[in-house]
Formats: sequence, structure tokens, C-alpha cells
Amino acid sequence: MSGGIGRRVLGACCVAALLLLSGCWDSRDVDNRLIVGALGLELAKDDSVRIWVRFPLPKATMELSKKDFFVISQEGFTVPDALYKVGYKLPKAVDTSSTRALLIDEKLAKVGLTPYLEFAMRERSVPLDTVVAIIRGNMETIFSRPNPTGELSGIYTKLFFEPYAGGMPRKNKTRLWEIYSKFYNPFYANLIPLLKEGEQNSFDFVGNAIFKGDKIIGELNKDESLVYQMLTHRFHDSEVELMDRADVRIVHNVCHIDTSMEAGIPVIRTHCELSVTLVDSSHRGDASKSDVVKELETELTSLAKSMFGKTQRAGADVFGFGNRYRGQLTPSQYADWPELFKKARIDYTFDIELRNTGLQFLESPTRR
Amino acid sequence: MDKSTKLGGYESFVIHLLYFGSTAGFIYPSFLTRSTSGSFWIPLVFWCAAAIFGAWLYARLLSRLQDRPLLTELKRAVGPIPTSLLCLPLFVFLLGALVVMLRSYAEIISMTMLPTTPIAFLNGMIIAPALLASAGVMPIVRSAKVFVVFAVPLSVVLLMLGLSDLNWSLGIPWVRFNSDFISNNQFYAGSCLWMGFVITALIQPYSQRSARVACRAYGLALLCALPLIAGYIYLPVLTFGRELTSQLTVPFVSKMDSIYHYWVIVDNLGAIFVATSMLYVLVVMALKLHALNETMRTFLPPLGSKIASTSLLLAVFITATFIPSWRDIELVLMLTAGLRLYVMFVFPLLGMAFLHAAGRRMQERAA
Repeated sequence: MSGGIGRRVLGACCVAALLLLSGCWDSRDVDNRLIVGALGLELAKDDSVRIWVRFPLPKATMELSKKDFFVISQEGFTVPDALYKVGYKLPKAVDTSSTRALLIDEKLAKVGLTPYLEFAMRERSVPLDTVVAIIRGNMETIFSRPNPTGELSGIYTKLFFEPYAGGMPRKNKTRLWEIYSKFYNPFYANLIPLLKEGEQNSFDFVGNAIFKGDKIIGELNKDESLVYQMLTHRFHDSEVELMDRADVRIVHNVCHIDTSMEAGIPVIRTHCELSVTLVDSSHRGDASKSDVVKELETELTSLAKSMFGKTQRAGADVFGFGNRYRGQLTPSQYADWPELFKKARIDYTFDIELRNTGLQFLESPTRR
Repeated sequence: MDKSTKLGGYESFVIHLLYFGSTAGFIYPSFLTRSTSGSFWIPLVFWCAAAIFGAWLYARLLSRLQDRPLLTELKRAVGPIPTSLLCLPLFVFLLGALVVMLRSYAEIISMTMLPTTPIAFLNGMIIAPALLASAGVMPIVRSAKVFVVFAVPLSVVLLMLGLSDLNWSLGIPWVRFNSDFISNNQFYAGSCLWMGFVITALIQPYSQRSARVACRAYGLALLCALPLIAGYIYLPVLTFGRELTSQLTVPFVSKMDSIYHYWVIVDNLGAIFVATSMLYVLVVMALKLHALNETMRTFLPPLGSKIASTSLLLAVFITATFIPSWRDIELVLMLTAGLRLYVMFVFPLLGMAFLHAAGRRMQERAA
């Protein structure tokens, strides 16, 4: 009897399971999606935003369009609104979950980034590891021009910054989550790479934009950016430093930071130990090894001075030194850090070791 | 149906480890990071000590059972009405814990992977633990032993991947003794993580020896789970900073989303984390359901308890479906904190007092 009831219940469950055949809510086949490679944001009229979207195209479609990408732009009150409106123009679903690069127009960054980036964190629609850069120049040209090196949309920008590809220490790779976390952190200001519309290529790296809150308030040039990378332990691989009489490659860098508070003034001492090799001495003349080291030290000290000068004047701690003072300040004092940073005494020293001078010529070819 | 319900030390250890894994990753960290402006490890250590004390109290209570189930012994000692009054908060706690676990896990899936799938459909996952619970405690334990082999190594791998992009200065102050968490209700809402021993106390009979073994197994599981719990809290803090971490609903999922390595072939580590959590959650939900069924079986006749179990399952499903948002789940956990504190500390003390009084009465009668 009870077995009969059990069989009937089981049968009812099986019939109920047929309801599941009505479909899966979140299913969307990959060939019915247009996957966003790069997303651009710029200011439009009346406080609205214009987005630029570049989709890589699969090979089969390429043969018809003769291009490996497709670009579309759209205005909207917010970024999600514009993305939604893009959907009205396309036969397939817009998929932002694989976005590799987020390019933000410099003018928009001067107004403030928060209203335009919140959607990414809230909705998780754009990956948190998306590479972000500020663009100086025409967004349309950057998005519409084919990548000269042939990489797919988005991947190109990612490779431009990645240490395993075109990334170099001066190119300060910045990801979306870093920007967002610094919006909330009173001790850390954003420093986002600045790209300029290129003549031979999609864009050139020109330096890094200094942010206070979510607005651009200054800029570090390429050389100052190198010192920033050394101080923040983001230095990887090697980087060539050009000097007056010789060019050296910085192959290794260790930086020690010591902080204290003296009479209510933050005192920050940095000491960088660098290993360098000589890569070009054609203009070196008779300068000795110690001359090269001295010159590099002078150069780096001067760059550090101008870099700290710019950031301290703006009260923008792009190095995150303030985080070391969390234990010495009370939570109610955290918001005062930008003012404290302006008054901070920052000492910097460089200890340079010229590891080798490469394969030397015993006699210069020009003297023969 | 397997009736041989005797858990050894390893079985208890596995169950407690899964219990920690089921809650530590997605409910607990946001409560802890919002509870204090001082060092995070201090409330963590505080709760560890409280949990060990609670487990010790339960061990003392269970050691008096002489191979009988806890509720049966209480009922025998003080009668059905006082026992049911004593157990009512326990029953509500179990029901609430099950609803919250089901709803919160469904919400995590919705937030991370299936945004348009109806919550009611996701809540339907309760069917799997319900079937497991109906088979008895040993099938649950056997499943736990299999799941732990996959879940724990996966969690360890994810934690190791989470070691990337850490900025240790974001963890400062490392040593700031601040007692502000004592007056913060988020701190008490976090009590849900530490209550595994309550579930295991209800699912099998205990003797003096087995109570001692169970207490030791809990301590060992807590010790092993501590790096896991600390990792779920500190890895997002050392990546995003204290301020953003305390704003995030599920900080560890965001941490997983932020990881990028050239050599990691998986694109969505957040989804891997959520899928791993499912292994923990399914077993723990089955255990909670089984504990609820056992509680009802103590007070209801056999046929009544079967109908009650089915009604209970439906009640859990419907309540979980009608909780509108994640904020409401957090609110439920905050409002029921007192109930959990009762279950952790007051219930075993009262239970011991009742058993002691009943024992004395028996002795007096015998004399």
C-alpha cells in the first residue's frame, strides 16, 4: 500500500520535473552574444555619458566585414543606461563580463569617476581585474582604428600593460578594483595611467594621472612614474634610465620605507637599493663608474623631489604611506590624512650598485 | 535507513570542518569587519574562546546522557512540557539557521552566477539535503567524508591564490585593543559561525567518552578552520582595505573576482568559490534538517513527525523564498542573536541543572 503511494509520489515528482524543460533563465549561447573587449567612457551633453564599445569579431564574421572588430557608441544618463540602449541596435546580447580594458576620457575624469564606475562594482558586470586607463585625445579615433599589431580589441590594451607582455615599470598597470578600493581608502589616492592618442599606434603612454578623490588634479611624467613604481614595490622586470652621458638598466630594486610621527608631523623615510647595468656608454667619454652612479643618483633624487612635490601640494598620497599611520591615528582622524600628508617630511635616499658594464669594447671603434 | 548513529572523532571533526566552511566564507566576514574599528583578530579570538566554552558546556551536558539522545533524556528527566519550553528557542534557532543558510546561499548564486533565475527555483536546492536528511545521520556523515576531500583542498587552493596583490599595510592596526565590538550587534550576529556543536549534540546519543571525543573533535576542527576563517576575513582586507571590505556584501567573492594571473586558466574564480561552498552548504543543511526532525520526533508520535517533517521542509522553503533581500537576511541574523546566545550558553546550563535535579530526585526516591 505504502509502496503504491511512494510510486505515485515518485511519478508526480517526475512529471513535475518536466516543468524544468521550459528553459533555463540565465542561458545565452556564446554565438548569441557580442563580447565586449574594450569599453570607453566620455562626457556627452547635458551631464550624460557617451560609451564606446569595441567587440572583437570571430573569424567567420570577419570574412564578411573585413575587420576583426565592430565599434558602436551610445549616449545615456548612466553607463548601464547607455549599455542597455546599445542593445536596441544589435542583433545579439551585449556581454560585458569579459571586458579587458576600460578607457576613460580625461575630461570625464576631471569631473569625477565615481558615478560612472559604481555600476561595475555593484552589478559585477565588468570584471574587477579590467585594466583602466585615462585617455587624452579623440576616443572615436582610438576605438575605430584597427590595432596595428593585430591583437583583438581589449586584449591589445591588456597586453600593453601586462608584465608578461608589453608592460614596463613606467606603465603603471591599474585594475578596476584598485581604483574602487582607493575611493574608499582615506589614506590612498589613485594614480591611473594616462594614454595619448598615438600617431603610429592606437595610443602612447605619457605618464600617470594623479587623483584626489575621484577627480584628476595633476600628472606624473614617465620618469617620475618610474620612481613611483620603485617606491611602491610595483617595479618588475627592468627599465632603462637615460642619462646625459650613459644609459643604465635598472635590473633590481628594493625599497625600504620607515615612518614615524614627530610633533604631529608625519616623517617618512625611504631608502631604495638599486642594481643597475650599463647598456650604452657611447656618450660616456671618460666618466668613471662612480660618475655614472653619481649621475643616476642625482637624476633619481631630482625626480623624487618633483614627484613628492606634486603629490604633496595636492594632498594626494598615491603611495599609500598613510596606511602605515592607521595605528597611530584614531579613526576620527583618518579623514585628516590628506592635510597631514601635505605637511609630511619625506626623506629619500638611493643606494646604487653598478653591477656590470656589459661586454665592453677594449677600444672604441671610432678611435681605431 | 541507517539507525547506527555513532559518530567517531574523525566523523565529528569532518562535520565541524564543513560547518565552519559553510558559513565562514560568505556570511561571517562582512559581520566581523563591520563590528570593530580595532584589530579584526580580537573579536575572532573572542568568539573562538566563547565557542570553546560553549562546546565544553555541551560536553558536560552530553556526558550525563548515558548513551541516550539529549532531548529524550531531558524529556524523561523533567517531563514533556518543561522540555518543550526549554527546547522551543532551540527549535526556532534551528529553523531560522536553516532558512538563513538556504536563502543566503541562493542569494550568493543569484549575485554571482544566475542573476535572472528566480530565487524560488534556487531555493529548490533544499530537496537534495532533505533527501539526505531523511536517510539518517550516517548517510550524511558518509557524504560529509566524501565532500570534505574535495571541498577543503579546493578552499585551500583558493586561499593560496588569494595571497596575490596583498598590501600588508592595509591590515594596520595589527594590535589595537578596542572593545567597541562588544556593543555592536554585528558582532553578535556573527555567532552563527560558531554553533556546529549544537547541531552535533542533537543528532546522536552520547556517553561520557563520546562527549569528550566530540568536544576534542570540535576544538581540533576549530583550530584547523581558523586559518580558513582568518583568510576569508584578512585576504579581502589586505587587498581592498578595511573601508571597502566593510562595504562589500561578500568580500571574499570580490577578492576572488579581483585575482588575475596569466597562468590561471579559470576565468571566474568567484564562481569556483561559490561552487565549492555548495559542498559545505548541502551537508550542513542536511544535518540541520536532520536535527530538526530529531527534535520533532522527540515530541511527536511517529506518523505525526513524518507529516511535521514535510510541513517543516515546506515552511523552510516558503520562508526562505519570501525573504526579499540580502539586507533582510542580515537583519534576521542580527535579530536572532539573542536566541543563539541562549542556545550556546543558557540551554546547556539549564539542561545540566534539570538533569542534576532529576538525578537527585531519583536518588532521594531510591533512598
